[in-house]
Amino acid sequence: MSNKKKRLLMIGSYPIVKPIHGGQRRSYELLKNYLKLGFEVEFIGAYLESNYSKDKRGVNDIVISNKIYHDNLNFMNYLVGFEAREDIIIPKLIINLKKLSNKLNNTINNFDIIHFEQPFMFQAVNKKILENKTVIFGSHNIEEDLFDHLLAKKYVKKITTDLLKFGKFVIVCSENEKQYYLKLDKYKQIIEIPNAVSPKSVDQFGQTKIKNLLNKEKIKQYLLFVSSAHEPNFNSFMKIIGFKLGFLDDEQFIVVAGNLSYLMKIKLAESNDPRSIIIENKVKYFFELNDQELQALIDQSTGIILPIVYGSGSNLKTAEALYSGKNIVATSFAFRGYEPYMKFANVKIADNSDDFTNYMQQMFNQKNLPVAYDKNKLTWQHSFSQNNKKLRELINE
Amino acid sequence: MSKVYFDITDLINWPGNLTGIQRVSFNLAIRLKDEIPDAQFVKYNKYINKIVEANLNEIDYYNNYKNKDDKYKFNHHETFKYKIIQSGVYDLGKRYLPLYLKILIVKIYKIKSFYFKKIINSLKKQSAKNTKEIIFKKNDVYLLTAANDNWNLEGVVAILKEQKKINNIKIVHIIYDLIPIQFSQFFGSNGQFSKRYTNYLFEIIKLSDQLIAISKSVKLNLLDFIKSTKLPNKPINVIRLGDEINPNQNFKFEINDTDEPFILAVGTFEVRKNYLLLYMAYKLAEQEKIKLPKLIIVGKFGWLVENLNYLIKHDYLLEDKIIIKHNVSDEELSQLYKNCLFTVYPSIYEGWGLPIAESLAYGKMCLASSTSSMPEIAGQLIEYFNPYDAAHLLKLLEQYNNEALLRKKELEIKNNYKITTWDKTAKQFYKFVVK
Repeated sequence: MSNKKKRLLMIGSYPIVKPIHGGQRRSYELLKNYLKLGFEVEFIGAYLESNYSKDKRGVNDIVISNKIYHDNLNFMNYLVGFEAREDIIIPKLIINLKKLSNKLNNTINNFDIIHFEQPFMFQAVNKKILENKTVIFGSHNIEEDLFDHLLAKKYVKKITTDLLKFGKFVIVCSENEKQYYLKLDKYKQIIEIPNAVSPKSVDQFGQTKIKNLLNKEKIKQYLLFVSSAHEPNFNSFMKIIGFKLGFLDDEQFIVVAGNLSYLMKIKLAESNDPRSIIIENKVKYFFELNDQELQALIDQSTGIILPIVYGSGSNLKTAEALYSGKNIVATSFAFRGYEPYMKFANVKIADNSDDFTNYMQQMFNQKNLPVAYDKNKLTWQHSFSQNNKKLRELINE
Repeated sequence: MSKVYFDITDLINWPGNLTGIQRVSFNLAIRLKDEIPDAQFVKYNKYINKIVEANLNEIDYYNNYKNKDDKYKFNHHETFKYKIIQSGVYDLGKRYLPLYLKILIVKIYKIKSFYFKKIINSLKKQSAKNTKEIIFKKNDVYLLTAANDNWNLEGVVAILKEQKKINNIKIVHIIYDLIPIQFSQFFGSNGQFSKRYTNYLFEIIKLSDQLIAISKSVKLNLLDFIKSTKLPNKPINVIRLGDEINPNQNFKFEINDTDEPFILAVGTFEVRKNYLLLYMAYKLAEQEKIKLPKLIIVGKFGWLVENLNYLIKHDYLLEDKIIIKHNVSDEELSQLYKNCLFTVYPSIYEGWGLPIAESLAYGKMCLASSTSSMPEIAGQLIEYFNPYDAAHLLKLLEQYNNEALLRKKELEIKNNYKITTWDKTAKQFYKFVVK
């Protein structure tokens, strides 16, 4: 038996050098776990150059120039038959750009195991070269559900089914996804690895910095919403909370942290609804924060809100909220994969605007409720430890 | 015992003739002492950032008003600005002076007024020191009846917020409408005014102990706004605005344009008043060969109507059919009401709709838009139309261009329409205040 390490290539639609959004962080943790399992691992991300600055890109990544993307956009939309998202267009573009296509296929040739994070990049790969390799399908969501356009749904379902056929097994985040894939192929092997948390150290510098910022903004109490610049996150906020901020007193605010801050600021500035001024006044933005600052913002918050009703964002924020031990108000959609936690006292679930904002109001008058679950079960370490045996077996089978 | 304070800052700062909000505020102010004798007028003094004592004599309009035998009359023919405009000097200068001279005059005026303002401000600061600051006591009542500093939250509102915390003063605020929130497109400025108003309303509802709406429609709009923003519920009472007219207006005014019968439309010439619908109805009449009487539109020149103004003035097929009058005194307006066939009010949305009430007070039939508060004024006594339906309006204009029908309607109005006096409005208002 050879002692040579097996080579594993992960392919996704983003870089993971400096992981920020949920998808990046999940991929990053999976990569670390593969390394721990003894594989030699590399990651290739394919994305638009304007989406990630140079310091965030990996050396192997396939970076598509904006010019090429926009020059070909209409034709690519014509090919797929609907106005498609970047993660659908970019793989199609790679097939048509020989140099990039060769780079991808040649790289794949050097690996034994190919792990696709989400099904999109599977479109770009020459299927023949995958024939003698172990293919793993890393799923984040039931992707077809996240598209409105009927043709888009059909298209995404087709890619998903194709990859499912090639994939030896699927790694999913939640029970829901598991049932979805079993419906498509009842014999498929599936490993459920829920999204989890990497415990962050408490840093005095971060705590003081956040405290000073809060004082400067005259924020005495706040509910925290950490989210990425994903349009459905903004739409969810508007649908569930919107202008219903009249219950906040002068020193109470909603704090939005993460890249959603940028998106919200732009969207509200563009809004013709004069009530947007209410959000502009009662929502404070904390743009990009490092891990310690974010942890400090969580620690000093009155509670955490997860007003998500649709979208493809990972529900990693849910794991982080639960791990923080803070009081939480969330939608049931935000708790996909964490259903067992919905019953605990510090978690309030509301799927309509009135109930949600009522719970928010109550949070300001409530002390932090005791946490009756084992927080360690929410860590990546726990998530992987439950599944690594099976994962190793399936890869080596 | 708690004291009632009535804020007249807006009236003191208001130049010339009173319109909508200021008219209400004024009519309530001059009746304050009749209803609450120990109440106090106050104003916000921005130079010292304090609320200080004030009296009615500080209001220009009041000084003209109290000097007249006829207490309803304010003759703006006596104002300096009116005299200048009427003398023709202004028009002549505008028409015949070369551009460089016009620029020079404007520059001199600006420079002069800049230094003039500086001197005035420093004098005002000095004199403000002699004013008497209001020291609030527990549960005092503060009445806000007008547009505070153009819906600003600084100044008086900030002081009231503080006093609410310290002395739990009770604030009563009149709400005239929520139109800037419902129809921000009617206010231009890329929505900035609407945002400022929204912000003001949002904060003032939180601060107030009682809101007074000028119609049931405004009350419903307020309840919707409170619900959509999750603000705390506040008691909302409704008052009916006065619509009495001066019975002694015998002022003879030459109405050159009214030799022939005419329909009258009153209200600021601005986009929300929807004069476009009248223009469309008249165009439709022309297309269908329907003969309509002349239309006189009376209203200050407002905003977002430049194109419509151009259309009406340059449409040779409608030449002299639609006349727009911008500078009309109360007396002229009174004559126009008396001499018109009937009135038409096509406004898209209103907080109340004073021209409808005025028309009825003059005994004249009104065709009005069917939205918002407008049907509250006269119920079944008048006819309504959809403010987006020119064909329906035309049908009504044609129908009421009928002497016999108009006489019948006028008799109905005379027998059934009850004019609301300002005394009655004030009584209603102060009853809610002291409750």
